[in-house]
Amino acid sequence: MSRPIKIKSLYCLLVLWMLSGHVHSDINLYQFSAADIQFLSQFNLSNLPPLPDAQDNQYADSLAAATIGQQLFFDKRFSANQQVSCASCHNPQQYFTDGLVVSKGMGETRRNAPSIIGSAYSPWQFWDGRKDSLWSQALGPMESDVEHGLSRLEVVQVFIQHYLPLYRELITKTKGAANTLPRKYFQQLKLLLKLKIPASPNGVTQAQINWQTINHAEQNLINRVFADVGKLLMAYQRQIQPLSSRFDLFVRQLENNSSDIEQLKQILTENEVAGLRLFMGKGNCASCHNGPLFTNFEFHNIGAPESDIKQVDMGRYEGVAALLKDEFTCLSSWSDADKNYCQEMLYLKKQGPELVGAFKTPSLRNVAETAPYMQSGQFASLDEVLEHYNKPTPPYYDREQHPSRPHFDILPLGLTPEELQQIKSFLLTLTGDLKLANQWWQAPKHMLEQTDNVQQAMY
Amino acid sequence: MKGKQTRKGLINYFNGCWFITVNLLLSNVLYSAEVSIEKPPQIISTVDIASQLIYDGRNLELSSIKLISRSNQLRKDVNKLRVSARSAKDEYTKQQLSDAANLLASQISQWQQQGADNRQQSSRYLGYGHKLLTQAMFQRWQSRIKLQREISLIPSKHQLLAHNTQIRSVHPSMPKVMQTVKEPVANMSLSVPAMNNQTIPSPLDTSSFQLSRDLHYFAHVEPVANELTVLSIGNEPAVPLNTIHQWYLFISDLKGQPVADKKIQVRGHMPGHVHGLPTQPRITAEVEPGVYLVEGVKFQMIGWWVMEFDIPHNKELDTVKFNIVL
Repeated sequence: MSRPIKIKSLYCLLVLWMLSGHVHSDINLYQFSAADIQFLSQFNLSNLPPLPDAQDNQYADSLAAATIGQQLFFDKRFSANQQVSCASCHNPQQYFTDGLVVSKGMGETRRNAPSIIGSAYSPWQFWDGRKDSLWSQALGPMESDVEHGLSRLEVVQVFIQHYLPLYRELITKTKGAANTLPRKYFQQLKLLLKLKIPASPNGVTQAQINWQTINHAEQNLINRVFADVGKLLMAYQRQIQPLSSRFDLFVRQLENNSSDIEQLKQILTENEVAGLRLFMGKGNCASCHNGPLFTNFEFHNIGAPESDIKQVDMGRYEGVAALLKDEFTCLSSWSDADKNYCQEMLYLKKQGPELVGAFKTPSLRNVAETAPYMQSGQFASLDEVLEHYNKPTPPYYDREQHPSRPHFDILPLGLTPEELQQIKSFLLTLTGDLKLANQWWQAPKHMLEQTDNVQQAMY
Repeated sequence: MKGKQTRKGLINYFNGCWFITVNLLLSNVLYSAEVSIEKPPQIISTVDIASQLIYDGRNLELSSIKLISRSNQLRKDVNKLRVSARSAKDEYTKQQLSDAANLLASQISQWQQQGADNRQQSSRYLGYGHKLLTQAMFQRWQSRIKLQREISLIPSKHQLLAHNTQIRSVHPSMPKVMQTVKEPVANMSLSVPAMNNQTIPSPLDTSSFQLSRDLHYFAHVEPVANELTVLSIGNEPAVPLNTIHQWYLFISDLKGQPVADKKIQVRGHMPGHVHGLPTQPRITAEVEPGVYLVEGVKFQMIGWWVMEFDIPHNKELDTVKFNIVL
């Protein structure tokens, strides 16, 4: 009599265990409602909108300009030691980063090289948003003594020496471009080759002294060509499209047939899906890392440790100050846009405690391949990043240096070590498939051959 | 009869304060006698009535505050009397004090009632005045005003995120409830905290027509109707998310006359987050007397926003405030 009862109760327990235990949750893990799928679609790469309008750069959407820009991007002649190109810190093989804590050009920079994938979508460039366009951004490193280490005149001279025919052809083909040029533009450019280098309105003292000896018309000419170098580099960078990842495949499968659990299981593992749910849910990562590029391009202070407390990084606060002094904004005479187009600059937010120590939300596409992390590479691994988000330390505050107490934008998450690992597994699914990379993801052919020749000669 | 007794009792007890209180009570009677909401006198114009209603409404509001604080004071005094009664040595005093306490206690509710009545009356006056001024404003700028309701967001097929709902960009004094919202989202197995709005006080006055704080101005705001704010013909202009767009700010005085040539400052923030707008909007033009163009308006997330306009009045600043729920 007692035995069947025992069996029955054991059976009941078993059923209960199956219902409440992980067998049940595993099935649920892959079950997404129509509203879930609609929500996840917002993150799918296929929902990436067209590139934003760029009226400030007349070459922005020219393929010819992009092709020249690509050559410039990989050209090491644009550096004081002939060893540094844009690609040195933005290496396509490393998803346009360099894998270093802080970038090294001629010297060591203060910041970690951000990937440039998707940057064409951001209204602001650099970690602190101190530039308002990709063309203006590209000019910064050229003139920086720790990056390319050239003066403005030297950049222009290298460009005239090696790119003049391509440049001339581009201008004649670009509608309206020639009309805006001074008379005898190309002859005048050649005269710039005779000017004394280094020369730049900023940089080392000698460069500034030499710049003062150049007449106003020639200074304008140098600035115009310099801005055009940036515009060509921007045209190239606009062609670099993010690569589809396993996450995108998963969402596409959900959109096409969400009931085929087996197919879903083949794309993402249980851990990865659990991580996806945490990323969107309890982890609240999606509140800032959202959209197809996993970023809102806004500025936040998440309290990442200062890399040097003697010289705190003021982030957006300094970025705004730099923008106000910048020679090459959308509002400048080097921009091709009507001033009214430059709405972000016209109505720039210049003050507010939320600017202090805030940095731009980075895209999480390819994040597993772009360590180390944060504005100055403070975190070596994703584990360290997640640990910080789980138990964040408030931002460092120094009365002497900070204009006000920095804002602190995150709350502790209270996730278990297992949950943190699941989020990490999910982040690994955001890596784009390099097999899908097109010609824009490598140096132009003739440059590749040159590199091969050099390498062969070395061996 | 009862009212008389009440007042008498109070006068006996609060020798020093009776003058004010009687005055307050009397003024209430006068207000209700003078202003008849249903049948405004025909000789004066609607806007005159409107401004009178608003001033009276404000006075009633102030008197209601005084009445209620008086009733609170009364309660404290009752408590004190009761304590004294308990500690009194002889029975006679005890009885006297206790009677006094009971008498006063019976009056508290009447003070409260009067305060509540005044408040209700005040909100009726203000509401009616507001309505009349809205009508006057709409009549004056009929061709320009495209939106009479509250400002809303352009409908989107995407579910929108409130980017840092759970984030602590909030003041320490912010109620806990505004910092943590754990409500599941309908029809979703993903519990996305960033899709929940902050807790928005209810009821929240989201009208796009508002009186200024010091009652010098009456104002209306709406997005300028163009391809960014009106998606299909016939629709009212709405706010496009994450896009810089323009607003019109209409300002009149309480007589319905346009308020021109003012140097106006624009401010905006999210009460739940203590963060401001992502841009710094400005008044860039006065397109006609009393109609100002606000440029550079941008909202980067859904939720409760407050937009404030500081308008000079003599040597001071008056402020008109709009609540917007996107």
